[in-house]
Amino acid sequence: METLLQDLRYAVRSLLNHPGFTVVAVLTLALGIGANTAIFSVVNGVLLAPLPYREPDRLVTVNHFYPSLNNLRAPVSVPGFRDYSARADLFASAAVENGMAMNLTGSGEPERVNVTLVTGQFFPLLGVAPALGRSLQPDEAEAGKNHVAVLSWGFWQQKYGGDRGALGRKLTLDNEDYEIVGVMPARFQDFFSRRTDLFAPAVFKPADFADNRRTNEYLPFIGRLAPGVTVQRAQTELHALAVRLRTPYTNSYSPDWDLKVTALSDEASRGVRSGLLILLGAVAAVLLIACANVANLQLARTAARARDVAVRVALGASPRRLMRYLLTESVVLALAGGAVGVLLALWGVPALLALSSGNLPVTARVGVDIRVLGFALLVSLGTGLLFGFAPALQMARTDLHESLKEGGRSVGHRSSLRLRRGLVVSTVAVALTLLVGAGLLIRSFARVVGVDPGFRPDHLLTFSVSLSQAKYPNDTVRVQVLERLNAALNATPGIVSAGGTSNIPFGGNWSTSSFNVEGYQVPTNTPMPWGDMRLVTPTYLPTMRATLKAGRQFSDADRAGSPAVCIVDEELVHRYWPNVDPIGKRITFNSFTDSSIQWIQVVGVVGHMAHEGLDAQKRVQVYFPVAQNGGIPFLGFTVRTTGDPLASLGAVRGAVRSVDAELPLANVNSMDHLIEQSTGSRRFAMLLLGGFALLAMTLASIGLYGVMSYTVTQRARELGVRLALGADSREVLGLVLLQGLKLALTGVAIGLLTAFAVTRVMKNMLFNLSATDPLTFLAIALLLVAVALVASYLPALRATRVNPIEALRSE
Amino acid sequence: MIALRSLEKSYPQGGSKVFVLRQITLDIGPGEFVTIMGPSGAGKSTLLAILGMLDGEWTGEYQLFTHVIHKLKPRDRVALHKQYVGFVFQQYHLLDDLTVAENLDIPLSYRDIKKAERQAIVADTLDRFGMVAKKDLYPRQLSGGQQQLVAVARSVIHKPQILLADEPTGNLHSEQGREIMELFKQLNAAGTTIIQVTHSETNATYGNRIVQLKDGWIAR
Repeated sequence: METLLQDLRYAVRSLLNHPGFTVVAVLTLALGIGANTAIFSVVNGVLLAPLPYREPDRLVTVNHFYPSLNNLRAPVSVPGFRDYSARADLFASAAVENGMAMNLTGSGEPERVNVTLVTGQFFPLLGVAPALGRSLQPDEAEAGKNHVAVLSWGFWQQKYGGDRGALGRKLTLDNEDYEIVGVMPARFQDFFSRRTDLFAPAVFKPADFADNRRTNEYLPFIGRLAPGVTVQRAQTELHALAVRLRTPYTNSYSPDWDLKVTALSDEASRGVRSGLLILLGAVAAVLLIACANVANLQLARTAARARDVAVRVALGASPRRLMRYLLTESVVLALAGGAVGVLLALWGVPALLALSSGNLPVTARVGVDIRVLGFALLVSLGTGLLFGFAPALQMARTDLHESLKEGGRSVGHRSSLRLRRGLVVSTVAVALTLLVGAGLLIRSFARVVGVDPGFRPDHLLTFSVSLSQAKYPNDTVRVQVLERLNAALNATPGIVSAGGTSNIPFGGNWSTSSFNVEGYQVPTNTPMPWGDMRLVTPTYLPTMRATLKAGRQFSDADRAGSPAVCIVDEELVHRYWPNVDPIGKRITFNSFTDSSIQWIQVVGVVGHMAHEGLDAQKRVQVYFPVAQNGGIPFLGFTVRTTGDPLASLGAVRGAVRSVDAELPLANVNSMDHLIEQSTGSRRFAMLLLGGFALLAMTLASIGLYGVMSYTVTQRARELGVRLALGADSREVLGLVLLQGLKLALTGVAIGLLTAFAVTRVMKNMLFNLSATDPLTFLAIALLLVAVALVASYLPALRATRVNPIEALRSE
Repeated sequence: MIALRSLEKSYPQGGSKVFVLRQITLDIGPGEFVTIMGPSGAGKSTLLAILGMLDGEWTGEYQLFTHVIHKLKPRDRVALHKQYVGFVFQQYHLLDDLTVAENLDIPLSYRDIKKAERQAIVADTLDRFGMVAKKDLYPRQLSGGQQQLVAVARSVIHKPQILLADEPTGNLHSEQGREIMELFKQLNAAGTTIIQVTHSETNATYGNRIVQLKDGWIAR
């Protein structure tokens, strides 16, 4: 122990005595370790840390699953919730929730708040105690008892300034009073909703349990497995239940409809796991390059330190002791790099979170905690051993007698140089692999943002309103107020046009349904036609600048009492009426054998509009006039403006206020922003991988520069002789550049092969692009060769300035 | 004490060998002060390295006390080296990052001597060699003679029975060289066997026997 401390002391001193080397090595390692620590903090928060609920490994979610509809996973319906939660053999308890926006009035400016309606077992099931008051009781999920609310910590702070007196106060939500009975702690996070302001009991009416509501799938389900029940067993049992349910409810469920049980922890990381692991792989590669670079620096130092080592051996140092001393030095260096790396990570994690722009799971707790620090320490120690081992071994192999005889001049250059070249080749190869990965993501991203959304997104403001049941109790008044809103917006100066829709594109909501198409017989074992359903005002499609391909737009005459009409998108025509004029054709939500079949006639065809994402698979789209189908309680509006859409917000508010002064606007956004947000996860992955690849390339080129500089120093005599024999500087320049180029080309060749094998794991992250896209591979290879030439140029230039006389004399 | 029989050292070159030492047969008794002389390239330093067990690539027989060196594994040779041998080099070879006291401490720490004991030995040695005032200085802060003095002190601090010196005064001016040689004489008088390599006839006079090497052979 005492000698270890001595080694440690001498190692620190030796590093301090060589500040240039130490600073470069520490910074190089800090970049590698810092990047790994930052990404690991995300991996830790998303994949490793347990969910913040009681016994989280017993929690599962159940989804409706449609294999033939692109593996669609839908929440459950009210009858479904009843059926599945009744399985006491599988679930100790179960709950569903329904997130919605409600209007909060009576306390200043009306505002929309995010309310999560939960069934009785919700809070007991999650096992998180409230910070204040109580949570909701199981018997409060009944009409008449349900006017109680539990606030989220954030909402309590924001609205009540953390005042404990808020308990017992009344809240007016959608014109109904609720009593505040509790506040949840700051660490509590609803699993399915990023931002819940308050929780209230969900109450279902008897009609909600009707069998025709089985496909009304809007309730995320959480269950706590009964003791002894595994996820696999629950899956097997619920699959059997799904098979049994298919037969009596053929109208609701397709022949392959199924139930999917997923551990809540897996659900939390679904969709981000592979991306995060790829990023972790990428930063590990960056760290490897950093290690190779520091090993290279160490090897250069080894040559100069051969005498020191030989003296130590001559003084009696055993090989083990010597190795320990050299590795101690490496580990000290790595720990210093790790410490600076953690500082970088502390700064980088918030930046990373900002960059992720809400694309991480809601339950993720990302930060530099004790586990992340432990990881950083382990990585630092491992790194120290990794980059220290080769130079230490090299040094142990030094010919001691020669070292002492030569008075400390470098020895063993040849094998050291071979090793250093090998390291440079491998760094170039790794950097190329990362660059190819980043290049693929960049090209993929360019293709995504280049997708025509099917409408003009510029100068488009979006917002939504919600009509409370208490104030607008029936369809007639709702349709009236929505039409008045539509008219008021369209009459506002500065607004080119405005239209309402049940689902704003890129707004995060969607509603789909199955239907039947006139003249189309569903083949056996094929699901019924299925797609997006939209209720819209007549001005919506023109406001969006959707292209009318055939027929007409909706008009004010398309209302209750007039013939049922719809407008379909090109995708539907392409699939079901490919060779006929679709105008006048009909669809229905009934089955063909239904005696009271209600047909809806197609009056127009518009181009397909992207909805969930520019890269999302196309679903067919059907539009219905809102005035003909009853007023839904909430509607999104899109407003086309002449100038900056957000600058029109005041005018828009005025228009809404002129119809209902208590109606708050929610989800105000520009369409450009919504689209940009929809590409957030791609941008996140692209920027991170791009950044790491750039870092890798920089480190690799620094490594190449270092080796070429070293080579020039080693070859000074030879270059001097060449110059003395009449070589001109161009020839010397070419000689060195060629050497650098050879190393780079070897690295590029190995890197191309590696990338060819490795980029396949990114297949799911790419859009309309092969994982072995030749253009990307070629462009990156050329880029890296160009960078390598630049990195070799400075040493080559130095080589041309070798003074032959000096070089020969110094030898 | 030291017995070499038909010891040879060579390097491969092309398809043949280049010999550095040929058929070296030599006996050195305890308490001797032997001087190895000869022209450059004669193999003097190589012979010294082999005697000190820094070089293990040779053929022939080497016996040190009762130890049959040529049959020993490298690890065992290291142990013997630690036990018996001290080295002094022409270039001093002090460790630049360590102070005078720390340079003296290093051989002791490699021999797993406890810290308190090491401190006492170092303090005693500093006193004996008159370097107490310089104990916290780094080698670069010392003159060549002072550095060699530290090197000699370091080589004998663990009380080796054999001191090997390769041109110990080669980098010193004559007065400093004389002081070092006087020191060697004292160490020899105290029982340390000394084998030195030198070009200096004057230095050779401090010893009691001269071994001449020429082209790798012992000149008869």
